[in-house]
Amino acid sequence: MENVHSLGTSFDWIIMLSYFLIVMLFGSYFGKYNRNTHDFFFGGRRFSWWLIAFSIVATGIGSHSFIKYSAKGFEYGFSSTMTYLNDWFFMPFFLFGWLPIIVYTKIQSIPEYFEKRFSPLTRLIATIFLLLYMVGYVGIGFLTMGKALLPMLPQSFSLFGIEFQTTLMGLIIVIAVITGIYITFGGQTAVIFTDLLQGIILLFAGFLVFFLGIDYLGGTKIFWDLLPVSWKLPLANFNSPSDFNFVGIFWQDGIAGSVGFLFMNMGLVMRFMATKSVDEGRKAAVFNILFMLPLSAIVVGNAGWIGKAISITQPELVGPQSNPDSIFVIVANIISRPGVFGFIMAALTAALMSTVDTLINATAAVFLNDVYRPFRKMLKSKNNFTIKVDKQELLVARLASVFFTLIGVLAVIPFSTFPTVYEAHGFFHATLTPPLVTAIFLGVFWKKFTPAAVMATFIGGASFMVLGSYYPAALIKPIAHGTPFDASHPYSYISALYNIIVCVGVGVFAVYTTSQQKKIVAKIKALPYSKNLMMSILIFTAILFFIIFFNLLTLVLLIISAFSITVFVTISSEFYIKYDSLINTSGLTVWSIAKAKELFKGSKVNDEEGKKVKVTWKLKDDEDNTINFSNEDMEIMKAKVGDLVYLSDARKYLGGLKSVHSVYGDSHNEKGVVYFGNEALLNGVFEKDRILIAEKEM
Amino acid sequence: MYPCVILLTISLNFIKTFLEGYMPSFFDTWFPFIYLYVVGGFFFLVGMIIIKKSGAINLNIKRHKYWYRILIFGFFYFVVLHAFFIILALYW
Repeated sequence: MENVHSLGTSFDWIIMLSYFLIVMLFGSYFGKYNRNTHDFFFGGRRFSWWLIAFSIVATGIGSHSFIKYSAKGFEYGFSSTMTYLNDWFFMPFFLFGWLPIIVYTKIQSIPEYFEKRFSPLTRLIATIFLLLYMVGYVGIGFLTMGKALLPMLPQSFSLFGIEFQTTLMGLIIVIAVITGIYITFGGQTAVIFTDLLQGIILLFAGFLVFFLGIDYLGGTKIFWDLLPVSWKLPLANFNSPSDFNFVGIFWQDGIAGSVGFLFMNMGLVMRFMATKSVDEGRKAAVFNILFMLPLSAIVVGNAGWIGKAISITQPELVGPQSNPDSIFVIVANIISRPGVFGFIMAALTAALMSTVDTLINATAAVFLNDVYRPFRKMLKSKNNFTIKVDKQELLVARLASVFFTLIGVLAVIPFSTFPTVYEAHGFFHATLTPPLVTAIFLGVFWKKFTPAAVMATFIGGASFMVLGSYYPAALIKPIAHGTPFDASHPYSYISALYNIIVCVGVGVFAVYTTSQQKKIVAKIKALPYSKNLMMSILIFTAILFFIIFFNLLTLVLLIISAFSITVFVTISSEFYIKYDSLINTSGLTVWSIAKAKELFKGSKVNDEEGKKVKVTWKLKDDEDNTINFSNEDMEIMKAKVGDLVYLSDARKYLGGLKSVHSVYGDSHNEKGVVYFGNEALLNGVFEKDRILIAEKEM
Repeated sequence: MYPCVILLTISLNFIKTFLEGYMPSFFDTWFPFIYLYVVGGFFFLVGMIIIKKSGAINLNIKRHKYWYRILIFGFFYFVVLHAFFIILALYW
């Protein structure tokens, strides 16, 4: 592959650096809306759907997208779009299952759901898997950014008389420092607003490349006629070649990736949790998938298509051996003038910031909620340890952001061994998502799914997955749908199908053997040495896992070991974990959403449909945290005392930035006036003499 | 009459392109499409059944009925979108 250097002019660099500075200042401005960790991570659950929908664009078409889809667009044509058009299959599950559950249960992270639904132990394991997943994602983001900027830099440069070589890792470290500073001081509100700005710029820049490219080639007809028929198809060949085939990508992206994206991508989940209501979250998700993703598919892939057309007409400019991961930058440089190229590259770097900052913010949220808080709780119970909670947590959140930025840089190393970012990302998805995706999915939609089953999915499933990576020819090939075997990276995509099958398989096995597990555990508990026996089983299980991990036996014996691990894990979980199938499923599965809603409100839900009212506001002196409307306004809203209310600034373009959730208090007689206390004023950041809009939530 | 002419033109184009050896195989064109919407459609259908049976979506509520229609519309929207682009690639 040919690598290029020193693309662009100094004017392009001025444009890029100015852009970076503006974005950092813009993000820092919104830092003032973070009064506590809830605001820092969730933006105070206050935003309108359109604001979230556009901010998701920047996250969805993040840094890796421009590079990896342009690369595949250059190699294989319009089928680079297929991963953007296969997310709808899981929308019923998301819109009416997962989304209401995460909002109504008020969980602050996905592992917290595991504690409520199963047990603290499953939360711990889920935290490990989730942190690995998210740090890996951060690594992919940094790798892509490095690959994007490298062609713009000289091979070496001198500073204070010292000669420096431009390396990928060196560049990534510089990028990580800039991103770390921004996210550490911004928080979720900063992320949402910066992403709104960047989402719009990204779409504009992507279409700019497309139209400039078409113009460069001489028009749409010439562009269309230049491309071979196979390049124009929206779906790839069914099962070949190994680095890009339909069936592998369907299972890796359409199934594991889609569920992973909607159900366990904390960055995205936190965006939906930042909407003012479940319905607004639904609107944002639907608008994003129906309209923004098809547009995004064009935005991120078109540089590759244009590059392919240029390679046919002017192979001296874009050679067939060009590095696919550099094609976006090469094409942007060819078709645009100085300054415009800088702007396009600034949009690309904006994409990186959007993805990585969202993920780092989300990773810090998981760390704070699932590592720091349980640890602090443990310290407190042992040492009567008291601290000023929220200020300290905000500091921990910021420090965690810095830490995970560093870990993300380290995660770049294994991914950089793959030929393209697309394959690295595909392998990453196929490997890390199946255990968590299966556990969340079955936990939400299957009431019978027990803690023993989820532990089996995590540990037993992971054991079989490790075997699959050691013996792909024996275990994955039979279900590989005829995809070719690539010895260096075997079954990068279709391994997702194998991993899903083994994770679901052990989970289902564990559920359907629950009565046998109970009988065995009852017999063990009756023994005088039951605790010692269970400890021996745990040690033996750990040894078996070690044997599998280091591939120390023959395949048949390893399969027996993996199966034994599954059995031992289910029995141990049944023995140690306290679980009440009624309490642990109440409001936590799709079968009890109404209950979840009731728990969220704290009393019976008032579903009577009312209208919104416009009001002016007055501050009240007492410390009562309720909000008081007139009798007439309450009647229009069909609200009763104790119902939940959402109050926001009437200026729609603010998208809910100045708003607050509260509870209806006693009514008064001043029509069109609302009274609230200082706390609501501080949370809502309302301005004097501004009209507000009130609506009943439930 | 007009649809018949279009159909005839498309058929002739199809045969012509096929004979010229430019036509991608069934494995490049319609088979991935069928696989996508049969297997993906299975997951979608299971989702629709579960949310309906569990009561998570209540078709007696006006807003839920609207969302139910949106979900079905979305599925066919992508079916049509993919079919359209395959036809466009092959015959235009």
